[in-house]
Amino acid sequence: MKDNFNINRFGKLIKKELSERVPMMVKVAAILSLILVGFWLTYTIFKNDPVVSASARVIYLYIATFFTVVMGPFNMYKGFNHHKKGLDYISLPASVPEKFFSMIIVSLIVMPLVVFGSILATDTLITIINPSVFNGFIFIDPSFLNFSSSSLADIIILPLFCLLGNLLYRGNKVVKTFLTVAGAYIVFIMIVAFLFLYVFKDQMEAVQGMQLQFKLTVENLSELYKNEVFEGYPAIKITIAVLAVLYNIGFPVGALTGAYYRMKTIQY
Amino acid sequence: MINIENLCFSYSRHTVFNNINLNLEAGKIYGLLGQNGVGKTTLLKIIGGFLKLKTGKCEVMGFTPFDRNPKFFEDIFFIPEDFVAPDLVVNKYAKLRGEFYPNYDENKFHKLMTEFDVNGNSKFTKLSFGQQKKALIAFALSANTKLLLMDEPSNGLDIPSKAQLRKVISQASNDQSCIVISTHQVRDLENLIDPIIILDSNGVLLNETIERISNKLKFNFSTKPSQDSLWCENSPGGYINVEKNTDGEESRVNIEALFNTTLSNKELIRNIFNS
Repeated sequence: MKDNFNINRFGKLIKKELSERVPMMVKVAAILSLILVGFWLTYTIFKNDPVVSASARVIYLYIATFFTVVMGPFNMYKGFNHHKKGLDYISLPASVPEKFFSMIIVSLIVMPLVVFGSILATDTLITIINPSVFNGFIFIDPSFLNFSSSSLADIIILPLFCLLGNLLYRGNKVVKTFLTVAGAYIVFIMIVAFLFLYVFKDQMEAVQGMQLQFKLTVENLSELYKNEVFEGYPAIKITIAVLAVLYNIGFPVGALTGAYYRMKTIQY
Repeated sequence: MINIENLCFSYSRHTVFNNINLNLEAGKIYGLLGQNGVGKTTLLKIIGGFLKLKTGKCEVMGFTPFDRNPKFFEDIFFIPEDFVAPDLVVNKYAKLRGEFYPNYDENKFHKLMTEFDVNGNSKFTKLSFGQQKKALIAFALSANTKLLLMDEPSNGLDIPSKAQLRKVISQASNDQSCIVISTHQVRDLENLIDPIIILDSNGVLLNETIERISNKLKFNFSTKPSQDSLWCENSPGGYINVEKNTDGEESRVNIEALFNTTLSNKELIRNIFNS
Protein backbone atom coordinates (compact mmCIF):
# COMPACT_ATOMS: atom_id res chain seq x y z
CA MET A 1 0.00 0.00 0.00
CA LYS A 2 2.83 2.40 0.93
CA ASP A 3 4.33 1.82 -2.50
CA ASN A 4 1.10 3.02 -4.09
CA PHE A 5 0.28 5.86 -1.76
CA ASN A 6 2.35 7.38 0.99
CA ILE A 7 0.95 10.51 2.56
CA ASN A 8 4.38 12.00 3.37
CA ARG A 9 5.62 11.47 -0.15
CA PHE A 10 2.38 12.85 -1.54
CA GLY A 11 2.80 15.93 0.64
CA LYS A 12 6.33 16.42 -0.69
CA LEU A 13 5.05 16.02 -4.22
CA ILE A 14 2.28 18.58 -3.76
CA LYS A 15 4.78 20.97 -2.17
CA LYS A 16 7.20 20.50 -5.08
CA GLU A 17 4.49 20.87 -7.70
CA LEU A 18 3.06 24.01 -6.16
CA SER A 19 6.49 25.61 -5.66
CA GLU A 20 7.39 24.97 -9.28
CA ARG A 21 4.08 26.02 -10.77
CA VAL A 22 3.19 29.09 -8.74
CA PRO A 23 4.72 31.48 -11.33
CA MET A 24 2.45 30.05 -14.03
CA MET A 25 -0.61 30.29 -11.76
CA VAL A 26 0.19 33.89 -10.87
CA LYS A 27 0.73 34.73 -14.54
CA VAL A 28 -2.64 33.31 -15.63
CA ALA A 29 -4.48 34.86 -12.64
CA ALA A 30 -2.85 38.25 -13.34
CA ILE A 31 -3.80 38.18 -17.03
CA LEU A 32 -7.43 37.27 -16.35
CA SER A 33 -7.71 39.84 -13.54
CA LEU A 34 -6.14 42.52 -15.72
CA ILE A 35 -8.78 41.81 -18.39
CA LEU A 36 -11.38 42.75 -15.75
CA VAL A 37 -9.41 45.91 -14.91
CA GLY A 38 -9.25 46.72 -18.63
CA PHE A 39 -12.99 46.16 -18.86
CA TRP A 40 -13.56 48.61 -15.98
CA LEU A 41 -11.20 51.24 -17.46
CA THR A 42 -12.79 50.95 -20.90
CA TYR A 43 -16.27 51.46 -19.43
CA THR A 44 -15.12 54.33 -17.25
CA ILE A 45 -13.35 56.18 -20.08
CA PHE A 46 -15.55 55.54 -23.09
CA LYS A 47 -19.11 55.20 -21.78
CA ASN A 48 -21.25 58.13 -20.69
CA ASP A 49 -23.36 56.29 -18.18
CA PRO A 50 -21.27 53.25 -17.33
CA VAL A 51 -22.81 50.51 -15.22
CA VAL A 52 -21.61 46.89 -15.29
CA SER A 53 -24.06 44.72 -13.45
CA ALA A 54 -22.92 42.15 -10.92
CA SER A 55 -24.55 39.32 -12.88
CA ALA A 56 -22.54 40.23 -16.02
CA ARG A 57 -19.34 40.10 -13.97
CA VAL A 58 -20.39 36.76 -12.47
CA ILE A 59 -20.59 35.42 -16.02
CA TYR A 60 -17.05 36.68 -16.71
CA LEU A 61 -15.84 35.16 -13.43
CA TYR A 62 -17.25 31.75 -14.36
CA ILE A 63 -16.13 31.83 -17.97
CA ALA A 64 -12.59 32.78 -16.92
CA THR A 65 -12.53 30.08 -14.22
CA PHE A 66 -13.91 27.46 -16.59
CA PHE A 67 -11.32 28.45 -19.20
CA THR A 68 -8.63 27.96 -16.54
CA VAL A 69 -9.96 24.54 -15.56
CA VAL A 70 -10.08 23.43 -19.18
CA MET A 71 -6.63 24.78 -20.04
CA GLY A 72 -5.09 23.81 -16.67
CA PRO A 73 -3.64 20.44 -17.71
CA PHE A 74 -2.26 21.92 -20.96
CA ASN A 75 -0.70 24.87 -19.14
CA MET A 76 0.73 22.99 -16.20
CA TYR A 77 1.66 19.59 -17.58
CA LYS A 78 2.23 20.21 -21.26
CA GLY A 79 5.59 18.42 -21.28
CA PHE A 80 4.48 15.38 -19.30
CA ASN A 81 4.37 12.98 -22.26
CA HIS A 82 7.22 14.64 -24.17
CA HIS A 83 10.01 12.14 -24.96
CA LYS A 84 12.62 14.33 -23.31
CA LYS A 85 10.79 16.80 -21.05
CA GLY A 86 8.66 14.09 -19.45
CA LEU A 87 11.60 12.04 -18.14
CA ASP A 88 12.22 14.38 -15.20
CA TYR A 89 8.68 14.03 -13.86
CA ILE A 90 8.07 10.34 -14.50
CA SER A 91 11.38 9.32 -12.90
CA LEU A 92 10.61 11.21 -9.70
CA PRO A 93 10.40 8.72 -6.81
CA ALA A 94 6.65 8.94 -6.29
CA SER A 95 3.96 6.46 -7.28
CA VAL A 96 1.67 6.85 -10.28
CA PRO A 97 -1.43 7.44 -8.09
CA GLU A 98 0.45 10.17 -6.19
CA LYS A 99 1.52 11.84 -9.42
CA PHE A 100 -1.97 11.50 -10.86
CA PHE A 101 -3.74 13.01 -7.84
CA SER A 102 -1.19 15.80 -7.57
CA MET A 103 -1.78 16.59 -11.25
CA ILE A 104 -5.54 16.78 -10.65
CA ILE A 105 -5.17 18.87 -7.50
CA VAL A 106 -2.74 21.35 -9.06
CA SER A 107 -4.27 21.77 -12.50
CA LEU A 108 -7.99 21.20 -11.89
CA ILE A 109 -8.43 22.51 -8.34
CA VAL A 110 -5.69 24.84 -7.10
CA MET A 111 -5.08 26.77 -10.31
CA PRO A 112 -8.80 27.50 -10.96
CA LEU A 113 -9.20 28.49 -7.29
CA VAL A 114 -6.28 30.92 -7.57
CA VAL A 115 -7.82 32.45 -10.70
CA PHE A 116 -11.29 32.52 -9.13
CA GLY A 117 -9.94 34.20 -5.99
CA SER A 118 -7.85 36.66 -7.94
CA ILE A 119 -10.74 37.80 -10.17
CA LEU A 120 -13.11 37.94 -7.20
CA ALA A 121 -10.62 40.03 -5.21
CA THR A 122 -9.98 42.36 -8.15
CA ASP A 123 -13.71 42.78 -8.74
CA THR A 124 -14.38 43.46 -5.05
CA LEU A 125 -11.60 46.04 -4.98
CA ILE A 126 -12.94 47.84 -8.07
CA THR A 127 -16.47 47.69 -6.63
CA ILE A 128 -15.22 49.39 -3.46
CA ILE A 129 -13.21 52.02 -5.39
CA ASN A 130 -15.80 52.77 -8.05
CA PRO A 131 -19.25 51.44 -7.13
CA SER A 132 -20.93 53.59 -9.77
CA VAL A 133 -19.42 51.45 -12.57
CA PHE A 134 -19.14 48.06 -10.89
CA ASN A 135 -22.55 48.03 -9.35
CA GLY A 136 -22.85 45.64 -6.38
CA PHE A 137 -20.59 42.90 -5.07
CA ILE A 138 -20.73 39.77 -7.19
CA PHE A 139 -20.66 37.40 -4.24
CA ILE A 140 -24.06 38.65 -3.10
CA ASP A 141 -25.55 38.41 -6.58
CA PRO A 142 -28.21 35.63 -6.86
CA SER A 143 -26.41 34.09 -9.86
CA PHE A 144 -23.26 33.55 -7.76
CA LEU A 145 -23.00 29.89 -6.64
CA ASN A 146 -26.20 29.04 -8.51
CA PHE A 147 -25.47 25.47 -9.60
CA SER A 148 -27.56 22.41 -10.21
CA SER A 149 -26.18 18.89 -9.93
CA SER A 150 -26.80 18.28 -13.65
CA SER A 151 -24.83 21.38 -14.66
CA LEU A 152 -21.99 20.20 -12.40
CA ALA A 153 -21.61 17.08 -14.58
CA ASP A 154 -21.45 19.28 -17.68
CA ILE A 155 -18.79 21.40 -16.01
CA ILE A 156 -16.47 18.52 -15.06
CA ILE A 157 -16.70 16.45 -18.25
CA LEU A 158 -14.68 18.79 -20.48
CA PRO A 159 -11.82 19.40 -17.99
CA LEU A 160 -11.48 15.66 -17.40
CA PHE A 161 -11.32 15.02 -21.12
CA CYS A 162 -8.69 17.77 -21.33
CA LEU A 163 -6.69 15.96 -18.65
CA LEU A 164 -6.90 12.80 -20.75
CA GLY A 165 -6.13 14.62 -24.02
CA ASN A 166 -3.06 16.25 -22.51
CA LEU A 167 -1.65 12.84 -21.61
CA LEU A 168 -2.82 11.11 -24.78
CA TYR A 169 -1.61 13.45 -27.50
CA ARG A 170 1.99 14.53 -27.92
CA GLY A 171 1.49 17.35 -30.42
CA ASN A 172 -1.30 19.89 -31.11
CA LYS A 173 -2.85 18.72 -27.86
CA VAL A 174 -5.53 21.39 -27.48
CA VAL A 175 -6.89 21.10 -31.04
CA LYS A 176 -6.84 17.31 -31.03
CA THR A 177 -8.51 17.15 -27.61
CA PHE A 178 -11.34 19.51 -28.58
CA LEU A 179 -11.87 17.69 -31.87
CA THR A 180 -12.02 14.36 -30.01
CA VAL A 181 -14.49 15.72 -27.46
CA ALA A 182 -16.63 17.22 -30.23
CA GLY A 183 -16.48 13.90 -32.12
CA ALA A 184 -17.46 11.91 -29.01
CA TYR A 185 -20.32 14.31 -28.32
CA ILE A 186 -21.62 14.03 -31.90
CA VAL A 187 -21.45 10.22 -31.77
CA PHE A 188 -23.34 10.25 -28.47
CA ILE A 189 -26.02 12.57 -29.88
CA MET A 190 -26.33 10.33 -32.95
CA ILE A 191 -26.81 7.26 -30.75
CA VAL A 192 -29.49 9.09 -28.73
CA ALA A 193 -31.20 10.28 -31.92
CA PHE A 194 -31.04 6.80 -33.46
CA LEU A 195 -32.58 5.23 -30.37
CA PHE A 196 -35.46 7.70 -30.16
CA LEU A 197 -36.12 8.12 -33.87
CA TYR A 198 -35.80 4.49 -34.99
CA VAL A 199 -35.66 1.98 -32.12
CA PHE A 200 -38.49 3.61 -30.12
CA LYS A 201 -40.23 5.07 -33.15
CA ASP A 202 -43.71 3.75 -32.30
CA GLN A 203 -43.55 4.68 -28.65
CA MET A 204 -42.30 8.17 -29.47
CA GLU A 205 -45.13 8.69 -31.95
CA ALA A 206 -47.58 7.70 -29.21
CA VAL A 207 -45.94 10.12 -26.79
CA GLN A 208 -46.09 12.93 -29.36
CA GLY A 209 -49.75 12.05 -29.90
CA MET A 210 -50.37 13.09 -26.32
CA GLN A 211 -49.70 16.67 -27.48
CA LEU A 212 -47.06 17.13 -24.82
CA GLN A 213 -44.14 19.47 -25.27
CA PHE A 214 -40.67 18.42 -24.19
CA LYS A 215 -37.14 19.06 -25.33
CA LEU A 216 -34.80 16.15 -25.94
CA THR A 217 -31.22 17.19 -25.26
CA VAL A 218 -28.27 15.52 -23.64
CA GLU A 219 -28.25 18.06 -20.80
CA ASN A 220 -31.77 17.24 -19.68
CA LEU A 221 -31.49 13.44 -19.73
CA SER A 222 -31.89 13.33 -15.95
CA GLU A 223 -34.95 15.57 -16.07
CA LEU A 224 -36.32 13.58 -18.97
CA TYR A 225 -36.03 10.40 -16.88
CA LYS A 226 -38.27 11.98 -14.25
CA ASN A 227 -40.84 13.08 -16.86
CA GLU A 228 -44.21 11.43 -16.25
CA VAL A 229 -44.86 11.15 -19.96
CA PHE A 230 -42.64 8.03 -20.13
CA GLU A 231 -44.26 6.26 -17.18
CA GLY A 232 -46.01 3.76 -19.43
CA TYR A 233 -42.86 3.03 -21.46
CA PRO A 234 -40.32 1.22 -19.26
CA ALA A 235 -37.95 0.48 -22.19
CA ILE A 236 -37.60 4.19 -22.97
CA LYS A 237 -37.21 5.02 -19.30
CA ILE A 238 -34.45 2.44 -18.86
CA THR A 239 -32.72 3.68 -22.02
CA ILE A 240 -32.84 7.26 -20.79
CA ALA A 241 -31.49 6.15 -17.41
CA VAL A 242 -28.61 4.27 -19.07
CA LEU A 243 -27.81 7.27 -21.29
CA ALA A 244 -27.97 9.65 -18.30
CA VAL A 245 -25.65 7.41 -16.25
CA LEU A 246 -23.32 7.07 -19.24
CA TYR A 247 -23.19 10.83 -19.74
CA ASN A 248 -23.06 11.97 -16.12
CA ILE A 249 -20.96 9.17 -14.63
CA GLY A 250 -19.55 7.03 -17.45
CA PHE A 251 -17.88 9.86 -19.34
CA PRO A 252 -16.17 11.52 -16.35
CA VAL A 253 -15.10 8.20 -14.82
CA GLY A 254 -13.96 6.95 -18.24
CA ALA A 255 -11.89 10.08 -18.83
CA LEU A 256 -10.31 9.80 -15.36
CA THR A 257 -9.59 6.09 -15.74
CA GLY A 258 -8.17 6.64 -19.22
CA ALA A 259 -5.91 9.42 -17.98
CA TYR A 260 -4.66 7.25 -15.10
CA TYR A 261 -4.04 4.26 -17.36
CA ARG A 262 -2.22 6.47 -19.85
CA MET A 263 -0.02 7.87 -17.09
CA LYS A 264 0.78 4.38 -15.83
CA THR A 265 1.66 2.94 -19.22
CA ILE A 266 3.15 5.90 -21.04
CA GLN A 267 6.49 5.20 -22.70
CA TYR A 268 9.28 7.63 -23.43
CA MET B 1 22.09 -5.71 -9.84
CA ILE B 2 20.68 -5.81 -13.39
CA ASN B 3 19.55 -9.08 -14.88
CA ILE B 4 18.31 -9.13 -18.46
CA GLU B 5 17.13 -12.39 -20.00
CA ASN B 6 15.88 -12.96 -23.55
CA LEU B 7 14.91 -9.33 -23.87
CA CYS B 8 13.04 -8.38 -27.04
CA PHE B 9 12.12 -4.84 -27.92
CA SER B 10 10.92 -3.09 -31.04
CA TYR B 11 9.61 0.30 -32.11
CA SER B 12 6.56 -0.55 -34.26
CA ARG B 13 8.10 -2.73 -36.96
CA HIS B 14 11.73 -1.88 -36.23
CA THR B 15 13.25 -4.56 -34.03
CA VAL B 16 15.94 -3.19 -31.74
CA PHE B 17 16.67 -6.15 -29.47
CA ASN B 18 16.02 -9.77 -30.16
CA ASN B 19 16.73 -12.08 -27.24
CA ILE B 20 19.56 -10.29 -25.54
CA ASN B 21 21.01 -11.40 -22.20
CA LEU B 22 23.05 -9.23 -19.90
CA ASN B 23 24.14 -9.27 -16.28
CA LEU B 24 25.51 -6.19 -14.59
CA GLU B 25 26.97 -6.25 -11.10
CA ALA B 26 27.36 -3.67 -8.36
CA GLY B 27 30.71 -1.99 -7.77
CA LYS B 28 31.51 -1.42 -11.43
CA ILE B 29 31.41 1.37 -14.00
CA TYR B 30 30.16 -0.16 -17.22
CA GLY B 31 30.92 1.43 -20.57
CA LEU B 32 28.14 0.79 -23.05
CA LEU B 33 29.40 1.12 -26.61
CA GLY B 34 27.79 0.61 -29.97
CA GLN B 35 27.19 2.18 -33.35
CA ASN B 36 24.40 4.72 -33.84
CA GLY B 37 20.97 3.12 -33.70
CA VAL B 38 21.92 -0.19 -32.09
CA GLY B 39 19.86 0.64 -29.02
CA LYS B 40 22.18 1.98 -26.33
CA THR B 41 19.72 4.67 -25.25
CA THR B 42 16.83 2.24 -25.63
CA LEU B 43 18.57 -0.23 -23.32
CA LEU B 44 19.16 2.49 -20.73
CA LYS B 45 15.51 3.56 -21.01
CA ILE B 46 14.32 -0.03 -20.52
CA ILE B 47 16.54 -0.37 -17.43
CA GLY B 48 15.27 3.02 -16.21
CA GLY B 49 11.59 2.05 -16.55
CA PHE B 50 10.79 4.45 -19.40
CA LEU B 51 10.12 1.77 -22.01
CA LYS B 52 8.20 -1.47 -21.76
CA LEU B 53 9.80 -4.60 -23.10
CA LYS B 54 7.81 -6.77 -25.46
CA THR B 55 9.01 -10.13 -24.13
CA GLY B 56 11.75 -11.36 -21.86
CA LYS B 57 12.82 -10.25 -18.43
CA CYS B 58 14.52 -7.18 -17.09
CA GLU B 59 15.06 -7.12 -13.35
CA VAL B 60 16.82 -4.20 -11.71
CA MET B 61 17.63 -4.41 -7.98
CA GLY B 62 14.75 -6.88 -7.63
CA PHE B 63 12.25 -4.57 -9.36
CA THR B 64 10.60 -4.73 -12.75
CA PRO B 65 11.49 -1.24 -14.00
CA PHE B 66 8.27 -0.55 -15.92
CA ASP B 67 6.24 -1.10 -12.72
CA ARG B 68 7.64 2.32 -11.76
CA ASN B 69 7.72 1.57 -8.08
CA PRO B 70 8.76 4.68 -6.10
CA LYS B 71 11.27 2.56 -4.14
CA PHE B 72 12.87 1.66 -7.46
CA PHE B 73 13.12 5.30 -8.51
CA GLU B 74 14.67 6.18 -5.14
CA ASP B 75 17.67 4.07 -6.11
CA ILE B 76 18.11 4.93 -9.75
CA PHE B 77 18.94 8.09 -11.65
CA PHE B 78 18.98 8.52 -15.41
CA ILE B 79 20.95 11.32 -17.03
CA PRO B 80 19.66 11.73 -20.58
CA GLU B 81 21.84 12.85 -23.46
CA ASP B 82 19.65 15.89 -24.15
CA PHE B 83 18.49 17.25 -20.85
CA VAL B 84 15.53 19.59 -21.33
CA ALA B 85 15.92 21.84 -18.33
CA PRO B 86 12.90 23.19 -16.46
CA ASP B 87 12.48 26.93 -15.95
CA LEU B 88 13.77 26.76 -12.39
CA VAL B 89 16.65 27.95 -10.25
CA VAL B 90 19.16 25.09 -10.04
CA ASN B 91 19.37 25.08 -6.22
CA LYS B 92 15.57 25.05 -5.94
CA TYR B 93 15.38 22.18 -8.42
CA ALA B 94 17.88 20.22 -6.33
CA LYS B 95 16.23 21.06 -3.00
CA LEU B 96 12.72 20.08 -4.11
CA ARG B 97 13.81 16.85 -5.78
CA GLY B 98 16.42 15.93 -3.20
CA GLU B 99 13.66 15.32 -0.65
CA PHE B 100 12.55 12.30 -2.65
CA TYR B 101 15.95 10.59 -2.54
CA PRO B 102 16.66 9.09 0.91
CA ASN B 103 20.45 9.31 0.47
CA TYR B 104 20.54 12.77 -1.09
CA ASP B 105 23.45 14.84 0.21
CA GLU B 106 22.92 18.58 -0.20
CA ASN B 107 26.48 19.44 0.86
CA LYS B 108 27.84 17.13 -1.79
CA PHE B 109 25.63 18.84 -4.37
CA HIS B 110 26.97 22.30 -3.50
CA LYS B 111 30.53 20.96 -3.44
CA LEU B 112 30.12 19.41 -6.90
CA MET B 113 28.51 22.59 -8.22
CA THR B 114 31.53 24.53 -7.01
CA GLU B 115 33.89 21.98 -8.56
CA PHE B 116 32.02 22.22 -11.86
CA ASP B 117 31.99 26.02 -11.54
CA VAL B 118 28.20 26.32 -12.03
CA ASN B 119 26.20 29.00 -10.24
CA GLY B 120 23.37 27.25 -8.41
CA ASN B 121 21.45 30.48 -7.98
CA SER B 122 20.91 30.79 -11.73
CA LYS B 123 17.93 29.45 -13.56
CA PHE B 124 18.63 26.42 -15.75
CA THR B 125 17.44 28.40 -18.75
CA LYS B 126 20.13 31.04 -18.16
CA LEU B 127 22.92 28.44 -18.24
CA SER B 128 24.65 26.99 -21.27
CA PHE B 129 23.87 23.41 -22.31
CA GLY B 130 27.14 22.18 -20.81
CA GLN B 131 26.46 23.95 -17.52
CA GLN B 132 22.92 22.56 -17.39
CA LYS B 133 24.35 19.10 -17.89
CA LYS B 134 26.95 19.61 -15.19
CA ALA B 135 24.25 20.77 -12.77
CA LEU B 136 22.21 17.66 -13.52
CA ILE B 137 25.27 15.40 -13.11
CA ALA B 138 26.01 17.12 -9.77
CA PHE B 139 22.47 16.45 -8.61
CA ALA B 140 22.50 12.86 -9.88
CA LEU B 141 25.73 12.09 -8.03
CA SER B 142 24.45 13.80 -4.85
CA ALA B 143 21.30 11.67 -4.92
CA ASN B 144 23.63 8.73 -4.11
CA THR B 145 21.44 6.21 -5.89
CA LYS B 146 22.59 2.63 -6.24
CA LEU B 147 22.26 2.74 -10.00
CA LEU B 148 23.29 5.63 -12.20
CA LEU B 149 22.53 5.54 -15.91
CA MET B 150 24.37 8.12 -18.01
CA ASP B 151 23.67 8.63 -21.68
CA GLU B 152 26.58 10.42 -23.35
CA PRO B 153 27.50 12.34 -20.19
CA SER B 154 30.56 14.04 -21.73
CA ASN B 155 28.64 15.52 -24.69
CA GLY B 156 28.57 19.29 -24.45
CA LEU B 157 31.21 19.47 -21.71
CA ASP B 158 34.36 21.56 -22.15
CA ILE B 159 37.83 20.02 -21.78
CA PRO B 160 38.38 20.80 -18.05
CA SER B 161 34.87 19.59 -17.25
CA LYS B 162 35.57 16.22 -18.89
CA ALA B 163 38.50 15.69 -16.54
CA GLN B 164 36.32 16.74 -13.59
CA LEU B 165 33.60 14.38 -14.79
CA ARG B 166 36.03 11.45 -14.79
CA LYS B 167 37.15 12.42 -11.30
CA VAL B 168 33.68 12.76 -9.77
CA ILE B 169 32.37 9.58 -11.38
CA SER B 170 35.31 7.59 -10.11
CA GLN B 171 34.78 9.07 -6.62
CA ALA B 172 31.07 8.23 -6.76
CA SER B 173 31.68 4.58 -7.54
CA ASN B 174 31.55 2.19 -4.59
CA ASP B 175 30.91 -1.49 -3.89
CA GLN B 176 27.14 -1.02 -3.59
CA SER B 177 26.61 1.15 -6.65
CA CYS B 178 26.65 0.49 -10.36
CA ILE B 179 27.21 3.10 -13.03
CA VAL B 180 26.35 2.49 -16.68
CA ILE B 181 27.73 4.99 -19.16
CA SER B 182 26.68 4.94 -22.77
CA THR B 183 29.14 6.83 -24.92
CA HIS B 184 30.71 7.37 -28.30
CA GLN B 185 33.44 9.51 -26.75
CA VAL B 186 35.50 6.63 -25.41
CA ARG B 187 38.63 8.73 -25.05
CA ASP B 188 36.81 11.03 -22.63
CA LEU B 189 36.13 8.12 -20.31
CA GLU B 190 39.12 5.86 -20.91
CA ASN B 191 40.64 4.55 -17.67
CA LEU B 192 37.22 4.94 -16.05
CA ILE B 193 34.93 2.44 -17.70
CA ASP B 194 35.48 -1.19 -16.80
CA PRO B 195 33.91 -3.58 -17.92
CA ILE B 196 33.15 -2.77 -21.54
CA ILE B 197 29.85 -3.76 -23.17
CA ILE B 198 29.65 -3.62 -26.95
CA LEU B 199 26.23 -3.82 -28.53
CA ASP B 200 25.32 -4.39 -32.13
CA SER B 201 22.07 -5.02 -33.97
CA ASN B 202 22.21 -8.72 -33.04
CA GLY B 203 22.71 -8.17 -29.35
CA VAL B 204 25.62 -8.07 -26.93
CA LEU B 205 28.90 -8.70 -28.73
CA LEU B 206 31.15 -8.26 -25.73
CA ASN B 207 30.76 -7.84 -21.98
CA GLU B 208 34.22 -8.17 -20.48
CA THR B 209 36.47 -6.53 -17.96
CA ILE B 210 39.54 -4.60 -19.08
CA GLU B 211 41.71 -7.20 -17.36
CA ARG B 212 40.17 -10.05 -19.33
CA ILE B 213 40.34 -8.09 -22.58
CA SER B 214 44.00 -7.43 -21.93
CA ASN B 215 44.54 -11.15 -21.27
CA LYS B 216 42.87 -12.17 -24.48
CA LEU B 217 43.92 -9.41 -26.88
CA LYS B 218 47.15 -7.55 -27.43
CA PHE B 219 47.19 -3.92 -28.49
CA ASN B 220 50.44 -2.66 -29.89
CA PHE B 221 51.77 0.25 -31.89
CA SER B 222 54.24 -0.43 -34.69
CA THR B 223 55.66 1.27 -37.74
CA LYS B 224 54.19 -1.38 -40.06
CA PRO B 225 50.96 -3.38 -40.10
CA SER B 226 51.11 -6.78 -38.44
CA GLN B 227 50.28 -9.85 -40.55
CA ASP B 228 48.55 -11.61 -37.64
CA SER B 229 46.42 -8.69 -36.56
CA LEU B 230 42.69 -8.96 -36.14
CA TRP B 231 42.49 -5.24 -36.71
CA CYS B 232 45.03 -2.79 -38.03
CA GLU B 233 44.45 0.92 -37.93
CA ASN B 234 46.56 3.58 -39.55
CA SER B 235 47.37 6.30 -37.07
CA PRO B 236 49.87 9.21 -37.14
CA GLY B 237 53.40 7.73 -36.98
CA GLY B 238 52.45 4.10 -37.46
CA TYR B 239 49.81 1.44 -36.98
CA ILE B 240 47.68 0.25 -34.09
CA ASN B 241 47.53 -3.53 -34.26
CA VAL B 242 45.14 -5.69 -32.33
CA GLU B 243 46.13 -9.32 -32.12
CA LYS B 244 45.15 -12.42 -30.23
CA ASN B 245 47.22 -12.47 -27.05
CA THR B 246 49.13 -15.72 -27.27
CA ASP B 247 52.11 -14.97 -25.04
CA GLY B 248 50.15 -13.72 -22.00
CA GLU B 249 51.82 -10.35 -22.07
CA GLU B 250 49.39 -7.66 -21.02
CA SER B 251 49.02 -4.43 -22.96
CA ARG B 252 47.06 -1.21 -22.50
CA VAL B 253 43.57 -1.61 -23.95
CA ASN B 254 42.75 0.88 -26.68
CA ILE B 255 38.96 1.03 -26.50
CA GLU B 256 38.46 2.51 -29.96
CA ALA B 257 40.59 -0.21 -31.50
CA LEU B 258 38.79 -2.83 -29.40
CA PHE B 259 35.45 -1.54 -30.66
CA ASN B 260 36.53 -1.70 -34.31
CA THR B 261 38.12 -5.12 -33.82
CA THR B 262 34.95 -6.49 -32.26
CA LEU B 263 32.68 -5.13 -34.97
CA SER B 264 34.81 -6.50 -37.79
CA ASN B 265 35.47 -9.93 -36.17
CA LYS B 266 32.23 -10.71 -34.34
CA GLU B 267 32.44 -14.51 -34.40
CA LEU B 268 36.17 -14.63 -33.81
CA ILE B 269 35.95 -12.30 -30.82
CA ARG B 270 33.10 -14.36 -29.41
CA ASN B 271 35.21 -17.53 -29.76
CA ILE B 272 38.29 -15.90 -28.23
CA PHE B 273 36.36 -14.79 -25.14
CA ASN B 274 34.37 -18.00 -24.82
CA SER B 275 37.50 -20.15 -24.91
